[in-house]
Amino acid sequence: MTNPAVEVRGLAKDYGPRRVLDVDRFTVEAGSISAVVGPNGSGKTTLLGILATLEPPTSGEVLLWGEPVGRSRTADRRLRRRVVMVHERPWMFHTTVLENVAYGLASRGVGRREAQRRAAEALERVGLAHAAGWFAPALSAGEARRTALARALAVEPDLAILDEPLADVDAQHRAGVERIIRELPARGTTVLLTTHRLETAYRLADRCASLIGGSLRNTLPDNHFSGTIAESGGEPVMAIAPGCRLHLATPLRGPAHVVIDPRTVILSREPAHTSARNSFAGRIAALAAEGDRVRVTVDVGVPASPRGVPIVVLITDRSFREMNLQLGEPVSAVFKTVALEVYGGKPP
Amino acid sequence: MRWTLEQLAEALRLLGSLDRDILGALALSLGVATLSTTLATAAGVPIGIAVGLGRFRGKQILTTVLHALLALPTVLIGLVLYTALSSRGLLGSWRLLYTPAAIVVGQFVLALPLVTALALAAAEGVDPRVRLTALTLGAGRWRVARTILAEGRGAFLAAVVAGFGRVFGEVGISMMLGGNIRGYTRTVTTAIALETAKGEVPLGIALGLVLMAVALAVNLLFLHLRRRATP
Repeated sequence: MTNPAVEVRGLAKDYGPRRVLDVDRFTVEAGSISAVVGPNGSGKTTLLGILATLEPPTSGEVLLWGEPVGRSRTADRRLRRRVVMVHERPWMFHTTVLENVAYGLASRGVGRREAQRRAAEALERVGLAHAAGWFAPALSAGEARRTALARALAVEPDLAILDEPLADVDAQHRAGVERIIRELPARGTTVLLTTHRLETAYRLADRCASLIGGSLRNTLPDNHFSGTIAESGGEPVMAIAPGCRLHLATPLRGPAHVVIDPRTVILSREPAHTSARNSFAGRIAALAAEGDRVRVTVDVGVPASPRGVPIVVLITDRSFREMNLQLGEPVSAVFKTVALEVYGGKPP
Repeated sequence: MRWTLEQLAEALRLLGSLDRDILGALALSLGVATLSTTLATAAGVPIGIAVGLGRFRGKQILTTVLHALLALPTVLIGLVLYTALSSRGLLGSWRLLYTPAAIVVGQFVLALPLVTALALAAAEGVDPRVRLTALTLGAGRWRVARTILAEGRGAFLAAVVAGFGRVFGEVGISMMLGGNIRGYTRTVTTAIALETAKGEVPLGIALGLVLMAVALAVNLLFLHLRRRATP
């Protein structure tokens, strides 16, 4: 176990009577890239703001490199100087791009010339050297985000907290930004980023956690699927693998996330003839005891592929024994459309 | 109608021959207004930023009191300061009454709540990301405040303009604390009041036109500054 850069204990944040964040435990190992995945409005930005010491939690404790945040103003300022947060919609100061990137260095008392030299270097890294003299607020959203990344990295922080670092970045620069993020641990910077795209998290991060409705899990949620809700035969569906479509009951369309509570999925030996709209045939890929329940992973769909789509089902110990389920056995996973929770998506 | 037109024509004729009294009153009006606005800005803008960004108990009450002070009539400020500055008053030993300095003090008291309230609104109007971005990039409190001032410069400038406008056109304080002494504490507004009372309506109108012209010129200057501040 290495030394954690971030450690959170019993953290909660209330806005008025509403609890927006409730995180029991969360750690980010020093030198790692960690991702928090969650739909918009799940509390990601609030969590990051608290970890960046920009906002106090309502209760609970945050430790940065083992040092508690909020003990004294001077200690907080010292910690804050080791952490930089890049907001989802970064603010560009009303001056040139170069002055924006040099801001953090100037705040640290670095001389003007040296600050500008290092700022120019940081701009070069994000591919914006040519924009140094531009008026920063006039940048496009993607350029502003890359400028904000350069601005944060110019101060060589020990911890970079990046809120949706790839949103708005055009396809042409996406790989470049991903490479910069991936190289950060080697430069001594621990990375904590958020994304609403599962693929981004998988591609970039050593560890993923999920945040849904303000509560954080150190693993991604079971049965979390990302895709596009489209209409098929007058009915909303989301393809999660070739030949594998979820039937939904939602007015929303477009890119979205779907989570299926494993407790609501029914296992059936026979191909099910029920009113449930979703029935997937597959094989039992894993079995694990979880308290008085059994966690059954069923690989469904994708006939020709060696790997199916895993659907996790939680059944009681008793049903497990009664059904006498075996590893590799063919079963069907059945669930109703209303068992699907939809995040994201837009009204048509 | 005819009378009015005659008075106006006479006023324009008088304007053509700007005499030393008019110019002296104008110089004093500009001088005291500039000085009092500068002092009110120096005090009000930092207070406005501090209150605007602060989170403390009683902030709402403080803001409400500040807004109530905006309605303070100039004669009341004049009266209170008159009792303080007159020879038997609390600050009588300063010997300020009936001097230009007394007018500056009075106008400062008049402009301070306005400049503070508008600076507070300006600070609150600055995007919250400005403060967060400055903080996360390692700025200390002073640098955060400076950055907020720079990002909201248009709105802060508007606070200063409003303060200047308020004091430049006031008459109650200048009259009660300055005393309208010819060639010493006579401002454009007190001169208007006096000349009109004396029946010298054309001169009063002429002075009023001068006041409006200068106010317009000053506002055009600020507009120019504001255009440059917010590209």
